[in-house]
Amino acid sequence: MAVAAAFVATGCAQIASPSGWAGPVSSDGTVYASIESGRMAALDSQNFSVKWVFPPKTDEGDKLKLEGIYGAPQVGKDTIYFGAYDGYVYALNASDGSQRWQFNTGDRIIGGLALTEDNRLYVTSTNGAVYLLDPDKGSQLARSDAGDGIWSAPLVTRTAVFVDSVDGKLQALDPQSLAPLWDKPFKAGAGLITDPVLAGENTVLVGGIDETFYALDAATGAMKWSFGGGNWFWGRPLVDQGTVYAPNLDGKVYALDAATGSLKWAFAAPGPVRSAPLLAGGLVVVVDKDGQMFGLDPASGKAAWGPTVLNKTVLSDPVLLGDKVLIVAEGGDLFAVTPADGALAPVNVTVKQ
Amino acid sequence: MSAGAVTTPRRGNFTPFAIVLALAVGVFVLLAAGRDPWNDLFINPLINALILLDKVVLGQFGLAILMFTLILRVATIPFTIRQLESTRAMQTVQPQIQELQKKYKDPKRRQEEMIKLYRENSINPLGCAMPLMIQMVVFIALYRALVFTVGGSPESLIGLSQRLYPFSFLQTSVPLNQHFLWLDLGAKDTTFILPLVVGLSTYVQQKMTMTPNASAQMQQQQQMMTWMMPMMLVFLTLNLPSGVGVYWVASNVFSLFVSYYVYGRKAFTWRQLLLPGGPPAPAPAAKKPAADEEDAPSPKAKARGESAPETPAGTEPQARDRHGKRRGKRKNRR
Repeated sequence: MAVAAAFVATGCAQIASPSGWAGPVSSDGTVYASIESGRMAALDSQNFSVKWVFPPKTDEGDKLKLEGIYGAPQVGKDTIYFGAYDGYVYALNASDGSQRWQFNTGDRIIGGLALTEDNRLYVTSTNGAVYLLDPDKGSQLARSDAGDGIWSAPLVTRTAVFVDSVDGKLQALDPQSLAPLWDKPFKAGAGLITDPVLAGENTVLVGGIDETFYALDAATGAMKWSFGGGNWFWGRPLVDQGTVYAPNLDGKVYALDAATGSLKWAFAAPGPVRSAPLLAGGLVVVVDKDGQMFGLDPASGKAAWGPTVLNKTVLSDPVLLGDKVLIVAEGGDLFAVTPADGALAPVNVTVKQ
Repeated sequence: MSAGAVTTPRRGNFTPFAIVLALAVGVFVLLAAGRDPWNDLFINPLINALILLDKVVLGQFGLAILMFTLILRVATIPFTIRQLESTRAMQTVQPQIQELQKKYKDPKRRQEEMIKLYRENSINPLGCAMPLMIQMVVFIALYRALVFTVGGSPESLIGLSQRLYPFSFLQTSVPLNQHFLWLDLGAKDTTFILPLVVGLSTYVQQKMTMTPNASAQMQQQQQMMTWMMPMMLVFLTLNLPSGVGVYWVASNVFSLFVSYYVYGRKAFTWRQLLLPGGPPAPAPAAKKPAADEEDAPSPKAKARGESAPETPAGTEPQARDRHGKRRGKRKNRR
């Protein structure tokens, strides 16, 4: 009986193994995307042919189990950086995908990395640590402990590094020493899990599990305003011309006044929205978890087109590639959509090696 | 015939039906409201209860699973005991059933005689089916709730967000601390310790609760299940988040205690554990005079450990109490 029940239960339950939701990045005619769980690939941006895959599909490469890649890769001069769920930061030669170095954070990497123009690489880990690494050698230059797990990418400005954590804290750290800059961190009601985003010069936006979206003073950490959604805020907000577009797992995208936090409009997608909204072709492009895409008028929130149905789970952030919106669905399938009318472009082939 | 058994009102049998009826009404109401009853009635309350317990035990999710298992098993203990007793009673009358099968070739007559036998012994043939069904539903719901809660990947948290009630004291527990002993509750146990413990505890639980069967075929089937079930659970635990394995171990240990309560100490011997096969089958029931039948306890009563005032010669003395003490054995020898 128990065995039968176990089998029924096992059959019914869909156990989510980490597959990753890293969004693609385009640079110099190459798209870097995780087209397979736990593998990073370089694709020709014109015909989507695969240039290289890491780890390579060899006996040696198969020994590396990255498990999943959640943060978008960072593109340096001739090196690609990304963090994986196995806890390692990988630096790869952009031309052939060979590994230059790896750095072990000691725990999962979910948030991702931040690479600055003056060649500093910041990494966050679910063990609550923030690392400053030398991008050339992979050596650790500084480290700070946030106290609890960090599930988001750091926001780096000229004067501070902002990191939020699952105990609901947002901290501002010195970019060189990673020492705390504020007297005390900002504390939300529950875990903060969105990537912190800058609005204007002096406002940091962040949201999380307490279903609240916060705007904070970047200099002091004092709260400027907050907005309550219907579920968790997890997707990275988009800021454009004084409006914040904040996706929520309740299926809505909220357009808020960046100065006051007042609601301008809310668009309800059929499924939860984790992917960041994207401004493309004069529209705000939104895609929900079930792969239903919409093009919204930024002023009114009315759908100009949609849904364009991808029939795939989408949790990654879409990016603009030329005149198309490029989306990586769960499992690594790639889709290209015309932002003006939502048409799936003829190149929406699934690229697999 | 056991007059007492027949006249005893079997009020307890109504409880599972009442629960099923109440659930059926709930399901229809939710379906009418366009909701998903399976999730609304079972999975989501269990998930939130698990997370609430995590809060109670100060963020130790492994302890929360143990507490949760204990509470659920205690809450369903009347069904568990009823099922064990019904199973035991059914197996006690197996020899008589086999005799009836040999004796009556006409299926209709055989059926009538079997119903008569059940009635005489105060056995409801469906008595073990309903509690079993309820336990199965609870088991599957709990299992799914665990999988959602200890999903072990950021993707699983998206699913959890749709099921978590919007109370701040629940939200502050997420994401759950998944480290417990040597385990990452959201990941497979790569040390293989937990799957082995699951297999071992299942084996012991199976072995200790094996009931005597007159039929060699049934004995063989039971013997096969004693091995197959632990092996299957080992395989499942190898492929599931460790939190589910922790539940299984806790549940098995609890089952051992319940079995001890129902079957008594005689089922808990090293001989029973180590030797192949189950306990000896009961001897076929001897034809008894009508007067003896009046005094003899029903098999259901035997399953509860009640002994007969007199044991007729030539029959297996069922004279041990719940904990296996050999009451009256010496007297019988004399």
